[in-house]
Amino acid sequence: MSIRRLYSLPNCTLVLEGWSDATASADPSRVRPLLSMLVNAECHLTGIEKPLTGGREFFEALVTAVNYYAQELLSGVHLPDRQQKTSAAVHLQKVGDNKHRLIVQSSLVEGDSGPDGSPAIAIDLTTVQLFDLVEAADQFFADTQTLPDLSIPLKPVSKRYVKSNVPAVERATPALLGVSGLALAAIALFFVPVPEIERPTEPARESNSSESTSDPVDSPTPNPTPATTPNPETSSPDEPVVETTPSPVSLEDLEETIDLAPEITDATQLSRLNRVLYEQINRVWNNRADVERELVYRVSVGTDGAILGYKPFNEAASDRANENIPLYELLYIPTNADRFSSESIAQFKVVFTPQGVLQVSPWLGYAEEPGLGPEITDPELLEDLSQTLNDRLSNNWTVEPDFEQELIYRVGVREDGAIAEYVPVNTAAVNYVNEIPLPSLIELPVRTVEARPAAGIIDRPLAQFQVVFTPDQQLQISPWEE
Amino acid sequence: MDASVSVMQTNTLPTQSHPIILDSLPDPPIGEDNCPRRTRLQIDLILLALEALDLGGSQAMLAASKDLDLREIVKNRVFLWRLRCTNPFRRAHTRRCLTISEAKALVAIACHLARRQTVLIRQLLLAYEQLQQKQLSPDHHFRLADYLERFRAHFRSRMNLRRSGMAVYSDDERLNALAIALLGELLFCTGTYGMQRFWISLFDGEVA
Repeated sequence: MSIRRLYSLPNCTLVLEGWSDATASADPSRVRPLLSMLVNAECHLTGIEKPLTGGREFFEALVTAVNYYAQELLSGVHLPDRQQKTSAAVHLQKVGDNKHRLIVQSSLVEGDSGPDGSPAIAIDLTTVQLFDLVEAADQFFADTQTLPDLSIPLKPVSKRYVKSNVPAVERATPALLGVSGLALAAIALFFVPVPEIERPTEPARESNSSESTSDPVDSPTPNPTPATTPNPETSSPDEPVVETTPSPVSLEDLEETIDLAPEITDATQLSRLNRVLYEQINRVWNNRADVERELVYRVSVGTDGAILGYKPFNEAASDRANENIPLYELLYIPTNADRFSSESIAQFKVVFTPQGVLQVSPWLGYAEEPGLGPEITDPELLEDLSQTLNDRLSNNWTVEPDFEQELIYRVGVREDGAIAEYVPVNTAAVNYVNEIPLPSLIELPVRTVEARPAAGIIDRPLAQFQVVFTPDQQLQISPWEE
Repeated sequence: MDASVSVMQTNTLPTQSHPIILDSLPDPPIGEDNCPRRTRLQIDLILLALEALDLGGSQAMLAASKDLDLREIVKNRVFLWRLRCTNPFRRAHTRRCLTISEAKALVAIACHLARRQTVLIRQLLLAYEQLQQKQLSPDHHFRLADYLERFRAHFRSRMNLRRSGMAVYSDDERLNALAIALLGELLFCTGTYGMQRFWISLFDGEVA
C-alpha cells in the first residue's frame, strides 16, 4: 500500500511517498501506517515553479543540510567539515543579509527543474522561507511514523572546529575575550559582515578609565570632603551658641525617656540604625589624635537615627565630658513638644579608641542575625538604580587606587537613588574605605529642629548591590546575593 | 547522522529533580555546571528581544515560568533579573554562575514566549524583507520601527557599551542589525524543535 505524507508550511511543503514494510502494515492497531521505505520526495518552495523531486538520497541530503545550516544560523558558528558528506549533494550558504542560497546537485533531482546543462540548482530563500523549510523538515523528524531511522542530529559543534574554521572572526576578536568574544561576533555575523567587528581591546580600556577619571574634573560637581580629613579649625567654635537653645536632654530626662520609650529590638532595624549612627559620628570626628584613653558612651537614637541623648559610660568618658567628641554637636535637641513623645529608641555602645577607630554596636547586642530589611524588587527600577549608582560612584572616584586587592561592598540604595548604606564585605574594603567615594556619598537622614526626615526612612526598602572597586580603577556593580 | 544525539531519546530519561520540560533539553558536555559566557550572553539577548516585542516583558516571563512549572528555578522577578545579570556584557553583571538547569529554564521561557509571538515575529521579518527589496529603511514600517527602537533603548540602558567589542553598538544601524538577527533567531525558536535547536546552538564551539 502506498503511503503519502505531507508537511506543509506557508512557504514550503514536503511531500513524501513510500511504502510500509510487511510487518508494520500488518499491525492493525496503528491508525497511521509506518512509512519505512521512501520512494519519492518532493520539496515545494514558493516562487519555484516545479518542486525539487528526488529519492531517498536527495531527501536525506536535504534534511541534513537544512538541519546543519539552521544550527549555524542560530549560533553563527560555521562548520564546513561536518557538512562535507552532504555538501556535494545539497548545500546551503549565506549570500547576504536575510538571504540564504540552497544549492542542489542536478544529478540528485529528477526532471528538468534546473536550467539545462547546469550541474546544480540554486534557490535563494529569505529567512522566513528558510524557516519554513527547516520547520517542514523538523515536523518530518518529529513524525515517528515516517522514516523513523532518520532522527534529528542535534549536537553542539566542538570547539576545535571553531578554532580552525573561523580564523577571520577569531583574529577580529580581542584576544582578551577569547571564545566569548567570538560569540558576540557570531551574533553579529548573522547579518553583519565580519570585519566590522574588529576592535582593539586595550585602547578602548584606556579611554574608558581616563573618561571616568576626567569627568569629575570637567564637571563642577562638588565632591564632599571625606570624613577623615582633619579640619580642626572648623570643629566647634560655635558650640556655645547652641547651648543657648533649649538644653539637651539631661541625664535624668534621658534615663526617663529610655525607661518610658519602647525599645527597638528588631535586629534588622538595629543594624540599619547602627550604620547610620556610625556614619554620622565618623564623618565629623576630626580630632582623633586627641583621644588618649578609650572613651565609651551609651547613645540613644530615634527611629531615623537622630541622636536623642548620650551618657558617658566609662571613667575616661566622664572626665572628658563633651570636649572634642562629636556627640554633642550631633545631638538633636528636642523641642518641648516632642520631648516626651513616646518615640521608639535604640541604644548603642559607641567607643572612641586612642587609635582613632570608631566602634558602634547595639547596647544589648543583636537578638538574632540582622537581615537586609525590605528590598526593592522591581527589576526595571533595580536596573535604573544600578546605573545611577554606577554613574555617581564613577564620577566621584577621583583618587587613583592605592590598593592591590579588590574592595567589595554591599551597597543599599533607596528608591530615589540615595545611597543609604554600605557594608564592607572583605578586609581590604574595610582598610581602604577612605579611598573610595562611598563614605562621602552616603545620604544620612538628618533631623533638625525645623524638619524631621520622612517617617520610617530607615525602614524604606533598599535595592541591594554588590559593588567592587578594582585596583585598575574599574567599577563593577551587580545584584547582591547572599 | 550516525554520531548524532537523538532528542527523542532524551525524552525517555526524565529525572525527578527537574521540571519535565527541561528533560527535553540534553545536558551539554561542558564538564561543569556553569554556562559559558557566550551562552549567558545569548540567552539574555534573546530575552531582551522578546521584551522589545512585548510590553509585558519580565512579567510575561514570570508568568511563563509558572505555566511551565519552573517556579522552583525562576523564583521571582528579582531572581530572574539576577540570572540575566550573569550576561557578562551587562552593566549590572554579576559574577555568579548560571547553572545548566537555570539556563534550560530561561530557554524554555524564551521559546514559550516566542511561540506566542509567532505571528508578530513573521510579520516583522516579512516587513523587513519587503522594505529591503524596496531599499527602504525600517522606519517605514511602524511596528518594525517600534520594535527596533525599543530594542535599542533596552540594549543601551542595560549593556555596558564601554566593554570592548560592545562599542560598535552605539551605532543605531549595528544595533538594528542585531535586533533583526535576534528576530530571526526567535522565529527559529517557534518551531517544532525550536527550543532544542536554540539550546544546542548555545553550546556550539563550547564543547570539547
